[in-house]
Amino acid sequence: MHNIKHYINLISTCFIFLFLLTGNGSVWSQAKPKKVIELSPNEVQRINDSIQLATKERLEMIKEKEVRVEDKVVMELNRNRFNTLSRKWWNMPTETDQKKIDKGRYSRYQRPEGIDELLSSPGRIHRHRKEIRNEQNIVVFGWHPYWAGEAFRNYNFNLLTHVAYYAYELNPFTGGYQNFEAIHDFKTSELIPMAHNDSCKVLLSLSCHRAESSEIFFTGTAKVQLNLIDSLIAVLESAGGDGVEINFEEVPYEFKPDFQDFIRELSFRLREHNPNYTIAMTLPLDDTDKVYDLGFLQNWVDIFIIAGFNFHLRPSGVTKGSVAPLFNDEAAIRGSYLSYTQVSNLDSILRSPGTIRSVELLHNETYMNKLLDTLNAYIKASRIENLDYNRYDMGDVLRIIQLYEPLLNNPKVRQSLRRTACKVELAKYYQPEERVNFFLFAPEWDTVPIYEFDVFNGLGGIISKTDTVVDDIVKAIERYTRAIGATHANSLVLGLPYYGAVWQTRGGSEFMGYMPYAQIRNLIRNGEATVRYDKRRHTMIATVSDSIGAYQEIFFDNSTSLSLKIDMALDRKLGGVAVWALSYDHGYNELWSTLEEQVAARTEWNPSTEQMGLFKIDKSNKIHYTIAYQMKRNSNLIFATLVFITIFMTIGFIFSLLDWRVRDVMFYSGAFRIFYLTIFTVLVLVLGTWLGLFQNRIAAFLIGLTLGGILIWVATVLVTRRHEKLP
Amino acid sequence: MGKVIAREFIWLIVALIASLPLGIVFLWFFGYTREVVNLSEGENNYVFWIYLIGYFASFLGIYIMRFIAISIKTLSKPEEAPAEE
Repeated sequence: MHNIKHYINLISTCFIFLFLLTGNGSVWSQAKPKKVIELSPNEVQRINDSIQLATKERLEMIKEKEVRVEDKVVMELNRNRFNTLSRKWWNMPTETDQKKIDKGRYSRYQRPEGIDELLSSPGRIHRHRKEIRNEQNIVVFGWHPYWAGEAFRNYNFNLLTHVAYYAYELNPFTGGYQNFEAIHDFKTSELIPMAHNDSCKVLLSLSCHRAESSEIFFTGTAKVQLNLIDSLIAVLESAGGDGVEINFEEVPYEFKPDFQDFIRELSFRLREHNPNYTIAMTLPLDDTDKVYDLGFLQNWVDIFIIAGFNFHLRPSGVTKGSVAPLFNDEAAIRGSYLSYTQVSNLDSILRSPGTIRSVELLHNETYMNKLLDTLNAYIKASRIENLDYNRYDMGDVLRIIQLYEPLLNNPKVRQSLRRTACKVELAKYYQPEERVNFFLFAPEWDTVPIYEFDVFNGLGGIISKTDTVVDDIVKAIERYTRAIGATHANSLVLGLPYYGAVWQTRGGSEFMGYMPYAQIRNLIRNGEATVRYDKRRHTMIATVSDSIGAYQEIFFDNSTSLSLKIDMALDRKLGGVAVWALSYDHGYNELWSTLEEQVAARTEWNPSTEQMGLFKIDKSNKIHYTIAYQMKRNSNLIFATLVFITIFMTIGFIFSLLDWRVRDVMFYSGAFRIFYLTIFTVLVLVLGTWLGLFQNRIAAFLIGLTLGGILIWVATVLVTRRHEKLP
Repeated sequence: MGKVIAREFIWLIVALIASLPLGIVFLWFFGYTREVVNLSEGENNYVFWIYLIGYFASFLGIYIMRFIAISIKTLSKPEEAPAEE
């Protein structure tokens, strides 16, 4: 009976299985006839109508979609408008402005147009009377860009303390350099031996510009940074360089900790390699996000260079104006008294537009007497009526010749005057732009001593308009002095430009790029440009003209404005000055003379000796050695000493175990045994990891734990048995 | 008392002498072995200072070793029962 039930169940299951296998019961469904629906004409019409309606609806939908596209355009416009407004609101540049800012920011690091032609002309070697001395503790820093080639042969290294070779352009992916040619030149050129001959240090600029590059570099593996440091050390070692100038621009705020760690590691490794290496760093004009934390960085960096140029680049755009304005609040209400000393011949002096304040003839007395006689003879021959003057006073004689035009243009008089060399002080007065009527007294005239004589014979005037100066060198210095603290201000160095910003003025105002100082001087010398002096910002403005009229304005600095800026930097107790770039004054010597006069020959009142003495900066030690620095520096030594002492302590412990009483106390307690075995396990783990026995730390920990447990158990069992055997 | 002084004096001499070779062991920690030759003047100076530090560390280590052994032994000794009156 039971078997029959079993067979029935088996057969029914097979049937169900077969039924499912044949297609879900479709075997029978195929046999069923199909039901045909007959439609009436009305119904067909209704269906057709519904189809047409659906088509119409679809068309409506498409039309609606078109409306949506229009909406989209409006929305897009609104979005752009919103972006523009919010950029204005938050003082952010538009995309077009950003491109202009980037051009202004990065074209400085590119080869200027016409530089090759400029550098191919013969240079001039500056002969100095004074040179910078070690005891002055002053920094005179100059960049030598790689495109300047052999221009360093005309540098006066006696007036420089540091030259930075620009640059090791960082490849952020690998830490290597991008410009192989430049690094090859750095290693092989004679720049370093020549500089070292005159006790000038040569640094290598490490450049990483643009936020994207920084992002790639700081998000890369630690190997990239180590590779960079190793590569820098190798290049410096091979070339015989004296350190590094870190030239990072636009480091994003989120990478501030990475940036600091990198600087610390770089500085540490470089100094570990050679303690005499100098580490310099260029600071941006305005560090809004405080990425450059000077409180931290001053432990690792010797010299901070404030990029005191490119003030025309504002956070929201590029504005036409001075590259390096020096602020002067009172310039607008004062008149200006321009004085310049010129060494020339008498003929050109008498024709210059300025007032002659004093003349010193560079000849002996016999020549002067002969000249006086000759000139007096011509004055007499000109038969001027009622002439009353002192025949033996050269000033009187020259004034008469200058006032009486036929005499001044007399070829024989001109010949005598042209032959006579003299040193003359000329003066010119300029009224203030905004005159103020003072009740009791008027303010004194501003004095503007001009140095480049041949240029300023044709000085177009002095301007002193008062419009808003958003930022200036004084403010930048104050910002950074506050950040680093007044006592460390001597680590700051003010960077100044040897170039001008060129602006197209015809058909709207547009920033064109930068022009080296020597090219601007050439334009002025060839009569293609006239010069004005902006007394408000202490900047020169050259206006370049063609046959139609003025078409370009160049804002630049000359020896006059640079002198004032150097003065200001040193008066504010800064450590020195830096210039971008050294070869840009190729063929002219006045900027070297400015460095000589303002730095090397600078004197100051010494209250203790009550005499004028050489200008010095109080600087005890450039590197601030902190405990953290010393610990890191000597970490190997500290570690080795500790290991040594630990070994002795262990030996002491083992010696003590020779006594049975000690052994009894030390191993009787179970807690003690667990403690020793834990230490033993940890030691095995540490040593194993150090020797590379364990690749996976978690696995090593688990193995250690298991082994430790087994050992404790075995040890406990053994000790207990031993104790049981004891009498 | 005299015995104690004599023993300490011997220990002092032993520590001073034993530190001489131990200083060289310390140098070996830094990889300065017999094979390292042709060192610059600066490096020679550095090696000398490391040896000096190693010497003093060894001297100190010998005394630390002694103190630890003595301390553990003293602590391990069972306290003597007070004499019954």
